[in-house]
Amino acid sequence: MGLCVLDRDLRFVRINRRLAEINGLPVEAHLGRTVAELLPDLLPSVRAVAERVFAGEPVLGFELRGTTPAAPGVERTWVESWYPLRDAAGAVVGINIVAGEVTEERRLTEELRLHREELQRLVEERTGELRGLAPPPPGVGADGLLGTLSACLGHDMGNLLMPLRVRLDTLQALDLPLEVQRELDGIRASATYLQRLASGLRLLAVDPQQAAQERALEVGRWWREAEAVLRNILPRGTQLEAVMPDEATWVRISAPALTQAVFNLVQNAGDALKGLPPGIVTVAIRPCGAEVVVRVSDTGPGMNAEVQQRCMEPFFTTKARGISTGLGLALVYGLVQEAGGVVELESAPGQGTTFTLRLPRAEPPLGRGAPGRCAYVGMGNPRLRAYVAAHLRQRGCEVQADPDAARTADLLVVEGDVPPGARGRVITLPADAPFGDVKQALRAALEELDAPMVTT
Amino acid sequence: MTLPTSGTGRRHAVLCVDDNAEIAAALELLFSRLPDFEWLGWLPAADHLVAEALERHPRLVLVDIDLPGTDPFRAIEELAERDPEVRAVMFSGHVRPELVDRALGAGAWGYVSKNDGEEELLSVLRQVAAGEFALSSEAGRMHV
Repeated sequence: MGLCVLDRDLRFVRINRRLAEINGLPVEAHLGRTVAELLPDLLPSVRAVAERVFAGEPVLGFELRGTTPAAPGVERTWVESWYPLRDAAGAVVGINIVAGEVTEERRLTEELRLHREELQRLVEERTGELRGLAPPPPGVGADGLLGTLSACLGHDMGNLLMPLRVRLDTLQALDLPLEVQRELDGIRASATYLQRLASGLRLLAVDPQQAAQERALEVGRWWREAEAVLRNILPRGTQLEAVMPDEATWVRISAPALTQAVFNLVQNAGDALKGLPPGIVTVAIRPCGAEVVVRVSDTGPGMNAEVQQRCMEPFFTTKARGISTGLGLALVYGLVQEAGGVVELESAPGQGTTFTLRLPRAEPPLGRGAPGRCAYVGMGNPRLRAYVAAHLRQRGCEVQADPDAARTADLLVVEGDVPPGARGRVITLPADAPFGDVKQALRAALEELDAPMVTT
Repeated sequence: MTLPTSGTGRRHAVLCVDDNAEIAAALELLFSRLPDFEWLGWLPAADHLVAEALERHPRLVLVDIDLPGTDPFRAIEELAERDPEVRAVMFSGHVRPELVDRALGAGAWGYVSKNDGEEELLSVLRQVAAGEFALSSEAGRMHV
């Protein structure tokens, strides 16, 4: 901390070594000389503050800026407090000064401010670009354009394919020459492929949040629906190889969420292979303990350490703006995290890239029900009775409507009185209630019963 | 439009509502070659669904969702009140949870995605005709 005393002529009466160093002159060179002689650049500011102090007012914690002989041409900043120095009669005869240099701190603060402004500008610019791509329609997540296109294409293709299939069936039922039958087989193969493509497109269009209730997905079945659309996003010549589990494997994620995650990874892999000799993209899924491991790997050029570190950040991209929103991997990360899984990345320049999604394994949805468990449904409205029965059958129950079965049923769903002699668990639903209320009440009651039903 | 005579009761008489003539023609072709279904005809909008159904007595009405004119959900709701013996099944390429909920809330006995194929369509219709509630695979995935 620098200290000094100035008299009424702004002459240095005393000064410590620190302040003398700040000023760039030895202590002795200060004594008896004025601010005007030694620090002319600071004089206007010093005079203004000195006037107030000589009037009897201490001036505390103000910033003084200027140059000194210690560093000519370099503007420096000090925080100073000036106190009036009085004689025995109370008259102000000088100024006691305490000064600390904050040049470096001020420089860093200013640099930080500029960085923040730049960052803010970039975020606004990229958000603007993203908004400019397409207004996100409701319910299709972050990638609005893709969602809208997929939904429309998937729907229209479905509408066209249905009459095509029916007419093919009609033709194939006729007694046609063998060569015509062969041609029809070819048309059917194309129609089947287009049907899968339409299914994949619809999976891309569904909001994965909306479909979150889909708790268990069989990966083999999912692959059959998703494969065509994944194959279609790869550059010409690039192979898509699939390694699927031999046995039915269930994973706890919705089909749209898994499709959208793998779609983004396969698309990135394809982009990495563009302009290179034809490469291979592999989607491999295997169960591993309590997890299902989904690997998407490519034989592309790989990523350097910086790209690996930043690639999951929203808006980060190595591709041209307008082609990439920089949201693909952030979406993958979000979808997998939402499902309770994790994303891992292995890559090195020249060694390709592998993304690994570790997702929670699920029980087959009907496996944990109660096969053979007998349920009685006693409801007046035939449609609601059928609805409840369908729900219970899906849970593995054998459903009875015969009142005699009520006595032996393990589970009874009724609207009013429990039939005499019944010993099973009872769910009472509101009578004459709208469908929505019946659905909610049934779901809540079954969830409550779920744990005991699994353990018995 | 001319509709053939009403259902016999032994076969599942089907009346269809779809604004896509190609789909309607394909459905006619499909049902006409099956011994357990009877094709009653099709309507391009739900405007006259209730009147036609009360006149023709179909066992099943297969109703598209995206239709010009009268709201199909409102039409099946009115039909369920006027003749609970007629069972409505929605048939659409649009399958979303809120649509499935709306259909079931309006009185539908089933919901079939146009993308699930003809086997599933026939299976759902047979189940509904037998007094069961049914959804095709894609619709089932969207319903909780």
